Amino acid sequence: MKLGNSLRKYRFEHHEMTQQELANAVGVTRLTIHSIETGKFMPSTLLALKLAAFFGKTVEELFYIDHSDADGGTHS
Amino acid sequence: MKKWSRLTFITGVVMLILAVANIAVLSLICADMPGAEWQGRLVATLIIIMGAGHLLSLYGVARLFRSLRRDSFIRSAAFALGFLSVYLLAVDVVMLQDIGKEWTSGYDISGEWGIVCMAHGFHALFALFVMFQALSSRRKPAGSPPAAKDEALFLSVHQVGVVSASTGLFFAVIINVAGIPRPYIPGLLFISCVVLLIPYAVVALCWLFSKRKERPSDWYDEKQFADISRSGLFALVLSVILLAVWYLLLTVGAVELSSLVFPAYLFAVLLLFSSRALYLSKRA
Repeated sequence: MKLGNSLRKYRFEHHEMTQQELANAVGVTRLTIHSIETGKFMPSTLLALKLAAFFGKTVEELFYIDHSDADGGTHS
Repeated sequence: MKKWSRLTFITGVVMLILAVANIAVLSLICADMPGAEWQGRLVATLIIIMGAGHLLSLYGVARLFRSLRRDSFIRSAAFALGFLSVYLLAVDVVMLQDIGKEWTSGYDISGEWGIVCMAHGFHALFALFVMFQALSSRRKPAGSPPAAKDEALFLSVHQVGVVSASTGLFFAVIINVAGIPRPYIPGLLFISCVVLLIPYAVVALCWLFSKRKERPSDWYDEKQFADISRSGLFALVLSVILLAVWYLLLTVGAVELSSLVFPAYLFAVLLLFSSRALYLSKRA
């Protein structure tokens, strides 16, 4: 079980913004955004809230618990 | 910045040519010691020009570090090896003076020649790194805005740490197996440690200086903090295992207590910490 996210989707919907632009907007490094998107790093509650606020979404819209295995599949 | 990448590239090419030319002239001197008057002066002149080239290259590399805001392992390696190469230029001068004195007294000078040749190999290696980092800096960055939260300097500190620590371990072993008289070993190890740790200290202090207006809690972003915490634990656990193995070997008499222990331990811990931090930062 891991933390899935729709960060990449919302980033592209948000004027196709780059990882660096998003990183600058929420005060982290580009590698942090990249690691969150690829599921290698779990953000803190504060960063999750900042990201959700930036896109005007709720945290649940941005992050979800991924029950699927490494091959991908369903998520709740 | 094009000016500096071009300048460091040209300096790298010139230093490489001078290192090769110096080796050629030194082999001429080696073949005919008594009649090596002008060759000796030429070698001295070339070493002075190489020294100026080293300083210019290090300054250029530091400027590229500051302005490009992108990490580059080749640039970090050039910076770390630059300090060692400058130190080895001083070693060249001392060794060549020794060769002159010992040859007239009829002593064997093959060891000194070996050190001078090895030092020139390092000068050539440094010149190559300077050239390659200059070439890589000419590639245009992707059209992304500059980073508000620095990551290039953070990564550069660990890259320099990896190069300094690996070179330090290499030198610690070389100094111990090269047949250098025992009384000279602690002094040589101490100087090597200082020279190899200077670039790491410089980059780390630059990083610290860049954080002077931030609160300590803001020095790292949360992933960087997680990465260095995990790297610290990794280095701590492995260093305890390394020390336990060494203690075991010492107890059974397989090794003896020597001045190598502290430098080797220091560089091993730095290598473990920096390489792990770099891996965790880059693996995404």
